[in-house]
Amino acid sequence: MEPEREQATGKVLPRGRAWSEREEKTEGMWCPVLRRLWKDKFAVLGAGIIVVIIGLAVLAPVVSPYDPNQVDLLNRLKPPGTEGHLLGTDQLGRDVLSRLIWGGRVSVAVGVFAVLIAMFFGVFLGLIAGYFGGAFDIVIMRVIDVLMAFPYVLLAIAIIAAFGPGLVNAMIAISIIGIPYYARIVRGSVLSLREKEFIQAQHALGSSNWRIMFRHLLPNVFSSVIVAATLDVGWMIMAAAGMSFLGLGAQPPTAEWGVMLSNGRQFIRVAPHLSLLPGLAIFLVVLAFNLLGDGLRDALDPHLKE
Amino acid sequence: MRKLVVLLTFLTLLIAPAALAKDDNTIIVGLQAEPVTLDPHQITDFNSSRAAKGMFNSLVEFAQGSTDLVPGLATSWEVSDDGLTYTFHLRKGVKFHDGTPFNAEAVKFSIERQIDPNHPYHDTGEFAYADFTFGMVKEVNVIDDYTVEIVLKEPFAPFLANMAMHSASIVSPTAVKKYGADFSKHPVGTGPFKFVKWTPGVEVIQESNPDYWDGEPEVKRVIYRPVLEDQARLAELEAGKLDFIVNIPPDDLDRVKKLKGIKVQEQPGMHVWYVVFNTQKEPFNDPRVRQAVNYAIDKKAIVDGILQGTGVLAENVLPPVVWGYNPNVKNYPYDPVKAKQLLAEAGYPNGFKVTLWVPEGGSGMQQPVAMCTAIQAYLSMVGIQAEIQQFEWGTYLDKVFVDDYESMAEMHVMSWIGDNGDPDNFLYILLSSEQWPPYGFNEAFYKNPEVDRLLRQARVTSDVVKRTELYKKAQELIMADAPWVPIDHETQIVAMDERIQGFKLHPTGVFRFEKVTIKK
Repeated sequence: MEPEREQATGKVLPRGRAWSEREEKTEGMWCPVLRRLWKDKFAVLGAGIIVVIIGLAVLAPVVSPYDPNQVDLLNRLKPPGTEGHLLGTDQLGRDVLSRLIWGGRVSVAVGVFAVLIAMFFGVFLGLIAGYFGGAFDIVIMRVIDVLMAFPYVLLAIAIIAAFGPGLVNAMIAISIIGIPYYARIVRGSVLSLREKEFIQAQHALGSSNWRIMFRHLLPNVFSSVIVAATLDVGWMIMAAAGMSFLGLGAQPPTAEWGVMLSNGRQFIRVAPHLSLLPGLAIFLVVLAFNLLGDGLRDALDPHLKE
Repeated sequence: MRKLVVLLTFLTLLIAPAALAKDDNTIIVGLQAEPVTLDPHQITDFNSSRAAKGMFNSLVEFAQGSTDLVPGLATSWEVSDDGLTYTFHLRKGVKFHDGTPFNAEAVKFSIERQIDPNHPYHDTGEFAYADFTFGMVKEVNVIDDYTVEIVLKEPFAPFLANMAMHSASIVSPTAVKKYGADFSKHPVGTGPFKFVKWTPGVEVIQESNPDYWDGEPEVKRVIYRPVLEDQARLAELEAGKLDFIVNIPPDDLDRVKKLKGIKVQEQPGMHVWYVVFNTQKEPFNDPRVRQAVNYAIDKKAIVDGILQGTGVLAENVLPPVVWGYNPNVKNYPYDPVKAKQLLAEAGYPNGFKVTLWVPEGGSGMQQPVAMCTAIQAYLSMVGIQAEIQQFEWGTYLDKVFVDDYESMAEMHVMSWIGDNGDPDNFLYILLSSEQWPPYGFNEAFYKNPEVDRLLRQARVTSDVVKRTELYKKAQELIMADAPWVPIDHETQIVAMDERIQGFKLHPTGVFRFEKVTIKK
């Protein structure tokens, strides 16, 4: 808990200086982290895969050989290696490679946005609950408990019954389910941090509650939130693919890995590549985010400092 | 002596597990999903009707393999000259599986239970088919133990065919009184197979009825198992865990036909798969728009490509296996240029946006998602942007079958499987404006007064030649108005262990194992 103590000494310094000093500290914190991360080959591999997948997703309109939704009923279920179709065609004669590339765009975007939404609300609620305590804490955490006990597919079905099926609604459902994860991490850290001297000092200096929460508590819990979020992206991509697999998420003709996997299931005997390839893509991206997340956690853990 | 007893006990123990395993007189059927009910009066889905058929009889039965009518629990019947009174002479000496006798009172009970809201056992179920089957019945009179008279409110030509439907099955009044609403889990009829046990999610077990009036079946046990995944069901047939399966994935069909020890049986189905327009709402209240969509979709490519020939291209709303079919009516050919032209005439030169509802599966729906994705692609080529929304089958039916003023539907897909082989069961129930939901199944909210008149007249006319003429005329008008895009008529396909002999597919899609034998 090195950085906290150093910050705590800032209590005698004028406010402006304490702030700029902490900024230096923060920057100073990330450099060794990246250096340590670079030594972790698995994390680098994970980051590499993520860069490639995001690169392909961003460049989809350029690199994708075909329109992913172009139907050709006379050229169905062609195996990988067929001329003109590197990874073959699906049950409607659409190019599998193009659909995988465009599907990555959808899957990764959904995963990242779902995490951002969950993180935004989770961190905010966790800060309030942990900092104010009392009735706030009780009410917020009981709601969070209820959310945790709620199966996400059931929540998704409820949301979809109200707003109709679609990728955005599925994303909203899984983000809501992701909120407790962040709220609990943040609340736990804030509970111990709020008793520390540097926070007490801010009280003494007359800082407002919001200022303390966002300027002093938030930066100190952010490293654990970043680790959690990186690990969570993989889970969110899986959940979104799962929802699409069940028909609750992406709607045809959207290329999405979960949908492709689900549709491919009917043809597993005659065209196994239709379910294997999107399955492999989901596996790779989830693995990559987990490797990176694990690496980040180790790199950010002060106890592992050499 | 003691040694002998020990030896015998030992031998029995050795043999016992073998005897419990699959024996040669059992047929295990793999269904698409769990039956909902085994009460024949409450059945609305295929899995239930398939699992329940063997346990029940009706007064009139369909012949093996066709919708011709043959005597069932009634040995003969007469119709009065005004077409209003049907007198049935009942088979004597028939007993229900619970040992109680079958008689005229049981017939009266079975019908009145469904249609009379004041009947003491009316609250033992929900009878969705009651209005369609018996809506025209005025009263049921018991003349004596073995004679029953049914009086109609108006002449109704398809009445005898209705009397062979599952909703017209005769149930044991004693059992309904004993079990109440739980009769659906303890079905008692007069059929060739007796109910043994239903383990939900696992199987329905039936055994042969030794006292069956038409002779005890050779097959001793029939077990119906729900296997939801098409591929899993097929794999279990190949592994010998199932003897008989439905819904073979079209792309696997060729491979399955070549498998040793398995045979495939096919028959043109009494089925139609179609896209439905909400004809009461813009833009589909304009027939030119509906025709344009008809021209825009390459139906043949869908049938040959996605369905791999497991259905035949629909030329008409009525399948060709049903009498009254008009062979001169032709479906709209694939002509995107003509489609664009019609759209422009109707005031949509740049197309429009529309929602297309699609179920994930469901009886008779074939490959709904793949077929609709292809339809969506064809529509986009003429400028119509169709947004697909998928629903689970139960939710889907709830959304589709609502009053016209409540309906949110723009375009959706549906299929229909004939219940009794009469054209009335397609044309009237699906396309007469008297059958708008929730009364019937005209979810297109199609209304053409001339079609209504023809279909109504055909219902009250008894002469088949005259009825055929009326139906042929109605088909022409319907296809010109284009309330649907008829896509295909699914071929019924089952795959079974090749030792199963003498099985005949039935146009209504139910399975009958009473005349089947198993080659040893």
